Amino acid sequence: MDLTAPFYQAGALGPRSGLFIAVLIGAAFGFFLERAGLGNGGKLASQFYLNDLTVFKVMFTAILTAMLGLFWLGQAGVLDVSLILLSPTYLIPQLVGGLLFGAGFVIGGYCPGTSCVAAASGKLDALAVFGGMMAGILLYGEVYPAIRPFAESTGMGRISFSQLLSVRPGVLVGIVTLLALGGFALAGRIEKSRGGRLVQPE
Amino acid sequence: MINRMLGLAALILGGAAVLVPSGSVTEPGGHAGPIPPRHDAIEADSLAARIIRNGTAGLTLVDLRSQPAFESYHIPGAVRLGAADLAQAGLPEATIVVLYDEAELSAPRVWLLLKAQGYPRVYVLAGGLAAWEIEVLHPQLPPGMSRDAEEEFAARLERSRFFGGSPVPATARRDTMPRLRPDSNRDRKAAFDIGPGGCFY
Repeated sequence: MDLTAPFYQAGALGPRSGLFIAVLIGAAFGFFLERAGLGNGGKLASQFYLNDLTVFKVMFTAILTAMLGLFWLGQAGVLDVSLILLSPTYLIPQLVGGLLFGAGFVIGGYCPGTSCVAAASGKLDALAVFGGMMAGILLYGEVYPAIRPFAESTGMGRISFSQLLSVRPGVLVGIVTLLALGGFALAGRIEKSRGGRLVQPE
Repeated sequence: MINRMLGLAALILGGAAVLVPSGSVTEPGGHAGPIPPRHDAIEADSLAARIIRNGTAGLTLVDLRSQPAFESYHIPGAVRLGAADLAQAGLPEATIVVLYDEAELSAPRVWLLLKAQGYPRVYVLAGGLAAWEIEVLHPQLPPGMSRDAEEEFAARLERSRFFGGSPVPATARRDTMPRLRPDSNRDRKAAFDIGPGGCFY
């Protein structure tokens, strides 16, 4: 097969067509996030009170679909997995960043992507979160030179779970699939025991 | 019903993945396999080798940092231009343009703008000035090197000396590394424009 993904890295797309496709994918991403109900801050925040686990289910569905797709397309030779960028791991800074992210998510009711989606549909709370996020990005850029020693500490390189655990990638795919499916079943039970999913007026 | 069918499909695909032997699986970019080449960036080592070989002829090095930071240290031969200045001033189209800042913070955005304006040969310095500092000015001697690595390191030492840097002992921690010194490139200026321009690779 001649056509190999990822198309941009394989040279099948130039910067212009790459940008054009990015806009299309971004629009589709926003549309489906909104349709999945993730443009509602109350619904997002109620995940943390275990009342409504839609976010968990949507995210794990996305992870599962992407993981199985990448694995089997790679096996079929349609996708060159080695060209996919793997971000390096910096354990402690990323743990701290994750905690900060989670705290912001609970307080603000949105994560970065969903704040854009909800802001686009006119929600003022999402607009405030979006503004805060932009200010935070600018601030981080300004202070980055000062905190660089911390941000680059405990580096583990570009490492995947299968390398870290010395497990075959296929075995890891199987384990994550079981975890996700088990998680879906458990999430349904938890929601039922808490009185069903949150339905908020739009 | 459809949820159950999708769940079953995921279970079959996930279960079958367990049976795939490890030899036939490619890992994502990172530890395994060669690092994919970046079409938008030039490594600090390659830039240093190019400057030593050909000077800055045919090359426009753009420092995107602030004026005080530029005056404190800049890569020899670089000019300081802000993103707004770049849009107005324009750049000689025939040259290779290399953009750098502290650590690829604003350079990728400017790269995109210049590409959109039709400049054919624009690159970002991979890792910014931070990478230049670590790879070119103060390379660190790794312990227990192979013969190939020793030869590579000897070349790095030469590049480091050329740009007024100094190697870092293998035992030194990176965060205690000497910072960029003002003036370390002042006496190097005469070494430029030593030959005709050429391609990077």
